[in-house]
Amino acid sequence: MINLLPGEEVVLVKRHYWLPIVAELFVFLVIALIPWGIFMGEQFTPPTVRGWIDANTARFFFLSCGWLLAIWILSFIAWTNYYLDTFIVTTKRIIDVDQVGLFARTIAEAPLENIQDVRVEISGILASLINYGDIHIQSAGATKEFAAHSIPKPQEVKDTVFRLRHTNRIQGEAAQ
Amino acid sequence: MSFDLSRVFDLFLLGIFGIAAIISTAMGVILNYHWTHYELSRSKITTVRVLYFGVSLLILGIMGALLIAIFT
Repeated sequence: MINLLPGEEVVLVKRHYWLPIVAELFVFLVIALIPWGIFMGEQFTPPTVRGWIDANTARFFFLSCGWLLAIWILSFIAWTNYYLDTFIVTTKRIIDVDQVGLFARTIAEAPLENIQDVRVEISGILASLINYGDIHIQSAGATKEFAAHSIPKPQEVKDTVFRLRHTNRIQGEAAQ
Repeated sequence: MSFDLSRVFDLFLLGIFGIAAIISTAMGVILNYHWTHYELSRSKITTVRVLYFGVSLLILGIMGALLIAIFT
């Protein structure tokens, strides 16, 4: 959980584009259906395999269910890794949460006033058509560069960061 | 001494069931920790929990029923 500072509000939360995770989950679905395909496709299975399945139907279904359970768990791990990998822009800072795996999580943050440069990179036909790409943010802090890959509408992040930085600067000057 | 290979295979299936139950429970606890501690909203946590644990228990239930059918 991200602990917000007093007066801080979350402005933007970005995740990777949804297409790769949907494709990954679809692959899991296809893999999960393999045993059921073997069971249904009588003409495609070798006679020895068919003979074993016919003689041990309960055992075959038991193993198929085990297979299904394994794929089910792996799907949730993949989805959780996708969902928790976020790029957050608040009114005071940017937070880059890298969820590499269930036991590997990196959180880097930089105050908006430390941001020096924001670069948007959209490359490829698909990325241009669907409008997703990478965003690179140069910071003056310990973490020199923040990078969020394959995020939808990266230009929106750039505009938001600049707008907030500008607003913060005006508010800072007014306070002085 | 007779050696019944199919009985050994059935015991192997029983072992698989035990491992499946332990792994799905352990992964459920780990995933639930992630859903609870990072970023997920309350309503989303409930939906995801019901989906994960509901389907896992259903599959384990079917496996258990099949195991009983195999052993009897």
